[in-house]
Amino acid sequence: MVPVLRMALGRLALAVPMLFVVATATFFLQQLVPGDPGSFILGKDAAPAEIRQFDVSLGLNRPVLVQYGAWLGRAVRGNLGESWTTREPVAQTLLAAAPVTLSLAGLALLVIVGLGVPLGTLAALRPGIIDRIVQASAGFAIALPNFWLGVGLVLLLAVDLKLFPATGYVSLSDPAQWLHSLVLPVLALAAGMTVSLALQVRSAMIDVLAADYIRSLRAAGLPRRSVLFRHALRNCMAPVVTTVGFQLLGLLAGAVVIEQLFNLPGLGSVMVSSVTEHDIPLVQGAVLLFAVLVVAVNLVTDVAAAVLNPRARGR
Amino acid sequence: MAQAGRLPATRAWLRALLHSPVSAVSLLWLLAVVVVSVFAPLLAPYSPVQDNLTALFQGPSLHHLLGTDELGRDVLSRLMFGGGTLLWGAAEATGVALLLGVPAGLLAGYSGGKPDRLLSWLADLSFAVPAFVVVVALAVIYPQNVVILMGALGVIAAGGVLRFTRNLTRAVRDELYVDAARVDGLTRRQILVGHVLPVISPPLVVQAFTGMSVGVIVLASLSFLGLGTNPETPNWGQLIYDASQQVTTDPWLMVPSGAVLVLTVMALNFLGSSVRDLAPGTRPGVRVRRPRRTGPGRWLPPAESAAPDESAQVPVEPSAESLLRVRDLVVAFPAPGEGRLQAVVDRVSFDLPAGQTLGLVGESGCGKTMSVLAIQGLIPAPGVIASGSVRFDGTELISASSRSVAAVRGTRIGYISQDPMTALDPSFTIGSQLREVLRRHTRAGRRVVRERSLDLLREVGIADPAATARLYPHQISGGMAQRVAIAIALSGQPDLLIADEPTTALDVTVQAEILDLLRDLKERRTMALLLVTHDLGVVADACDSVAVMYAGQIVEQGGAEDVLSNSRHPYTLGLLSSMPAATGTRARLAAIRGAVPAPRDWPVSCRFAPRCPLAADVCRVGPVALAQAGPGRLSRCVRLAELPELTAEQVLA
Amino acid sequence: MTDLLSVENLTVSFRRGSAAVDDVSLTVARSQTVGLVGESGSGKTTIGRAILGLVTPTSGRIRFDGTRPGNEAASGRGHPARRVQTAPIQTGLIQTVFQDPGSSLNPARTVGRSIAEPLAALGTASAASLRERTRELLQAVGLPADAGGRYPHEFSGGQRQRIAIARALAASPELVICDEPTSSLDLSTQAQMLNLLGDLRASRGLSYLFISHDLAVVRHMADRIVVLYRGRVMEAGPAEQVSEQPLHPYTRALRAAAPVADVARQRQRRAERQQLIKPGGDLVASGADACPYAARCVFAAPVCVSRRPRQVEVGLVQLECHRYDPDSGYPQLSCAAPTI
Repeated sequence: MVPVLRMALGRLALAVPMLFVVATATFFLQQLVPGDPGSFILGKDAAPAEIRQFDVSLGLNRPVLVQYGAWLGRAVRGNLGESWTTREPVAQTLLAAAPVTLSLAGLALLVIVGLGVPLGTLAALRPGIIDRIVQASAGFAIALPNFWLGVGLVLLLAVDLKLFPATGYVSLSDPAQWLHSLVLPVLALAAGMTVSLALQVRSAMIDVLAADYIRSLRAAGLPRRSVLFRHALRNCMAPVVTTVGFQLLGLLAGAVVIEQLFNLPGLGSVMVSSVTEHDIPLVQGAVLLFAVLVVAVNLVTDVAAAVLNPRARGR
Repeated sequence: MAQAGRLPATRAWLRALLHSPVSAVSLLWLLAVVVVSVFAPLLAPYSPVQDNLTALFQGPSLHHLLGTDELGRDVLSRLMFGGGTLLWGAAEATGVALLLGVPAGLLAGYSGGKPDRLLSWLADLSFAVPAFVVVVALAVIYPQNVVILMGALGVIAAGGVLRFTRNLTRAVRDELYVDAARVDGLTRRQILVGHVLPVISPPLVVQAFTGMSVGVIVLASLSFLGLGTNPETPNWGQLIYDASQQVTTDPWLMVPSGAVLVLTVMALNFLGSSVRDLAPGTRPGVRVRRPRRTGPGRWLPPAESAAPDESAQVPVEPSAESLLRVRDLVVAFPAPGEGRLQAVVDRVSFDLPAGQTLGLVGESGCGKTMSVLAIQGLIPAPGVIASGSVRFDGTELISASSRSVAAVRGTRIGYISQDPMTALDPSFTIGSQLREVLRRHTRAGRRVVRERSLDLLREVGIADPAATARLYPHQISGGMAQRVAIAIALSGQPDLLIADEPTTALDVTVQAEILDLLRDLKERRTMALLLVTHDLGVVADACDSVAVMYAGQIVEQGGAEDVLSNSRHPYTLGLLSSMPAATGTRARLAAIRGAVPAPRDWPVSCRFAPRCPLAADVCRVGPVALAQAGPGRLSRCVRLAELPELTAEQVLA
Repeated sequence: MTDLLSVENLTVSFRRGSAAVDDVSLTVARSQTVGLVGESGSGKTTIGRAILGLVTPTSGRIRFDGTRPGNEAASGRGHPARRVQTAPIQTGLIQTVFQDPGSSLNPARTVGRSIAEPLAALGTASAASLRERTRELLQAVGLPADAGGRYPHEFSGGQRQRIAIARALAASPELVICDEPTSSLDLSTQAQMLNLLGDLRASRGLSYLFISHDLAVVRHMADRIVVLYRGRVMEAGPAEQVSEQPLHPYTRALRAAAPVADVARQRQRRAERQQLIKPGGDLVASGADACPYAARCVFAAPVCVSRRPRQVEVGLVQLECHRYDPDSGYPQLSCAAPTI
């Protein structure tokens, strides 16, 4: 395990400068925005003096590098500034929105892995109906945009059949309703990736099942089931984990669209609304938070892959 | 150079691509989308923004082939204008990613060292960036500017392309043909352009198609969110958004825009997977270590029924019932596209008494591996045991239930395969695999199992069993791995050990030790040994009796000493004279001419005749049966009677 | 007459502290075949690659054709040397046939293009003459002259190896390094390949550096044999002598370990090998200042693990062994000199 820990720490050490670069880039994003925030927020009709005063109050008249230093200093301490539109602390807004996105992505991940792995395994083992269904529907399912699917699901299951709510999110305080409000969004988000993962698992499993050691273990008398579950699945896991890692990143991206569609107050919605409203601090904060999530996902994926593949650990 | 222009390899698989109906259709569709959107101002019946408030929400009709939307605008026209932007945007992102990533990846992969470290760090950096989110954020500065947004996406995606290209390049760099090119004095640039690029192009093209389909979806998603849109010529993402707003009023509106988007993405995906499937087997570094001599060969028309030919098979002990008794074993595989079975093991029969060693000798494709796999019921799909009988200790295995056959594996019959490094599960330690098998065979507690595992390792000659048990297969040498494999095979105390080329992958001094070990174990545990090999020296060393196989049939059989010193078949004689040790001089070897035929080309008459220097017309008449060639000896040679008069030299002159 | 190839004190270290090739010297004369024999880890392939310029020597010199300085490396302990010149490599005078016919030909190229590459790289031939030469070479190796337009995957392993040989001959080399050219082939194909290599050598006056793990094959092809173990030369001498009357314990072990297809003789050989090979020997290694074979040697004495043996000459054979006593052969010789 020690080499794995060492690898994890190494990755973590690399992650910090990366986050730093991303943070810096998002800061300088602001410098490129045309126009100044004051006139944007107060409106073009506001008096120039008011606008200027507004800008000064935000510290926007100081040299760029000074602003950068100040921003960095605050950000490290968790202070990401205030939203220009709501005047609330960015960190607070983001923290309130995070659970929604995490619920959405988390549940979607459960569905993807929980359905995708068994489907893919079955497809690999029984080249029959299941395999054919998986392969035939794969092209279509993967090509289906999640927002289009989302609208369709809303139409069918929310509007027509009234089984699930079309929009809105219920917090975890009411677990049943929480789940209920997330069914459609999760389905829309997870459908394509489930099929995609099933295909990956299928192909990894087919490769593994053809390996020499599988045959040797069966020749040694191990029953088919334990060879399958203990050995074949185990050896499939490393490439599958890497795939799931990529899909998690896709989930974060997809969440942005799905949250908009289903009116879920998550980080994605915050992202979109802050962009349309030119609320720079909020945009910066959201991008930074997403970057942190991405780095975390990458780290976990790499460590998991190393744990699962002894050869990747180094001596 | 003689060949001009693009590589023929490219042309070959491009042509194959176009021949596949699915990819041809996909290509046509994509072309249609592009052409239609470029010429949309001429082709579309209406302007995409022309509203007609008197004809809202109309269904498909003659005037409006796909109906109208909430402002009376013609759906078909809007669709026609809406596809091009998506494809161009995706193409831009993909193009940027490839332009930045491929040359950098080539450099990083081929040069290694500092450029590699720097570029890989940059690529890793791009992985830390939440691409979609960043593109959305960029819309703050450049709203509706598809060029910039897609360009940014391309830059971020370049990191992934870089890493992908780099890994591919590294694999190619390690290939021997690159070494050969270096020996020829080719410069780095010549090697990259002439060798590396052509080989990595197919996977890169697949990546490009994947990138395109992701790009289309990303741009459509952005447009759905209201970013990167163009009110004059709305793209399909916008159309879906507009439709979604009216979904309760007119759900039909969702269908056309969704359908074309899905079709386009599907087309891109199909093209990608077609390229992957059709490009020549050029995946570098994926050299499966094929053991030299296994494999059922290619599948073809079924061998014809020869007359039942086996006379009594008794290589060694006529009276005792052999431990293993194989009769007329036929293993076959379906011939692809022909609906028939092609035999790869053609009526093989032999006996193996308890405690003896039988060698199955032959070159690749002769069917020896399939024969022994059949005994254990481990023929890989889609192969079948078409007919025959395998009696082990009196029990018929072929017609037995799979449960009874499974019960025999490991406990009565043990197996070791050719390549010890791939015979062990790379994800588990040696000890854990050994213990797992032991647990299966003994109902004992953990401590007993552990002790027994260490005993077994010691028995196969491993000096420090405890330390070895903690290692993973990739951490031990080939010789050690084979000992471990033997230990695993012995854990059920089998009466018969099947060893399929157990020493081929090992150094000769290690081979000697393994052969001695097997001999030792055989005596100590009173096991029979079925030894598959291509090496007649191994036969001389280890076997009591031997069966020589050629093209799915046994061509000679008998006691080892007898067969080797007094061969009664031209093939065996040929093998013996092919060995350099035989001549002892530098004279030309009396080699067998020609090559082993694939199953599809097996003649009905004597299968060795095309290569046999003794072949006469009588050999090509019909199938040849195994005949008695002496006490306990069999040979499948029509001209058997004349053989004694000819020496080996004469036979193979 | 100077030697065609002269390797002097070649050392190649990939990792600090362990040398894949350790102070190896050998020569190949014109029209001579020298066989390099060893098992895995012996360094034989690395020597071949160093001569071809694919690997940079850590120290030592490789001279080709005396008058034309070849792949010279500056000597110096532990400092990776830079290649000074690669002229003989680039003039196609040294060529190679690799072991694995599967990966020694670019699968995306026609075999004709691969065969012509060494000649095309010299830049002197026209397209037409390249085509002509390709046809000529294909015929010389026993393949149809019009096979040039096909791809490697359309050929069998043996045929691909013939193509590799054709490529090696394209630029009319003087020295061909054959790195286990027959090890991945079937027995009957191997015999054909050895015959082909022999014929080509005779008709073109080639020199071979023939690398193999199979003593019998090397004996069949070579005039001189060099036996390597863990990067050092254990024994070197005329082929017949080294393979039939080996002096070094390792060479004797190698010989005894290779089985022969005669039951009676093999029984004797087995008795011999059981006396010459220490069980579990492949799992141990010797220290730096010791004979590399000491840990496995049945004749090892204390001196063997404390000091490297010097090279001594016994007749035409060079030998590195402390225990060799020229008067009586070895002590503890319980069975006579090899009889089989």
